[in-house]
Amino acid sequence: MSDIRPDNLVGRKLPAFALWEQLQRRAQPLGLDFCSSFFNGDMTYPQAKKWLEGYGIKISITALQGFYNSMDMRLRFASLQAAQQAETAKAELPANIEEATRERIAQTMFEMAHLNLGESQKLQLIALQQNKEGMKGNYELKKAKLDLDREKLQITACEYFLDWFKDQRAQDIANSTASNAEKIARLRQTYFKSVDELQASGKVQLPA
Amino acid sequence: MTPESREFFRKAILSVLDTNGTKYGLALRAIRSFLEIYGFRNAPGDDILKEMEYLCDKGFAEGVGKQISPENTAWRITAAGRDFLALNEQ
Repeated sequence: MSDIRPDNLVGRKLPAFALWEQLQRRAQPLGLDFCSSFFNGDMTYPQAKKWLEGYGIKISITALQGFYNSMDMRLRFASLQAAQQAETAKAELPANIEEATRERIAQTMFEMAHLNLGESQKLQLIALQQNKEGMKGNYELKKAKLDLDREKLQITACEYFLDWFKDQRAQDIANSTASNAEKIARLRQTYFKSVDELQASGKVQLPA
Repeated sequence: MTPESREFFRKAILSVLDTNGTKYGLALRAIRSFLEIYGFRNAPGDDILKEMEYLCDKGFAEGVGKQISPENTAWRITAAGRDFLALNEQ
């Protein structure tokens, strides 16, 4: 059967599931190695994408993000890890223990390991989620501050405009029958008087 | 529990069992713990046991091992259970 490209599938959960299926179809340590590094945050998304491409698995970054954030996938990984630990423990049991007892011990080992590993994955995902929400909160705060700054600036500009509009001297000059050049000269004298005085004092030289 | 919520609960139990792709079974404590991610926090153990019985009767799950007392049983999803989930997730 040919491999299904994970992100070609339609459905909310399917891309992550298809990646899991592809990893399972290959030699077992591959899936465990990948999940171990990936879920522990030892690989970035582009690194993971490249790593998988090296094994012929094509996947988009979005699908990888879905895989990373899926508790379902993390539990699947935890169960495989737990089974591996149970098998190792079973192999180390003394040879004289009968098979039924060995199986029961392995089952108990699996249950304990699975609960620990699964809980650990659950906590990791909760921490990630909280972190993400914290970052979202910071962004919202920054955005609110920017909006407030913008609003302040607009209010200040309007206040300046109103001040100017209310200014009788400016109105008189603007409404007069003088030419534009004269109006500009008079407005300049009114509002930049201090600059002219400063220039006249010879303390500063304004550019020509 | 309403019939609708019971159905969600059964599907959630099956989903937890489905995450275990090994030959080993999941015990009550693990099912109870991971049901949380499907929205059922602190589900009563008796309710889970009751629904496990139903799921086993339907052939969607099966007990693993030979324990006599139900509290010590571990369960695994069957092929019929997987098919049911796959059909209902579309």
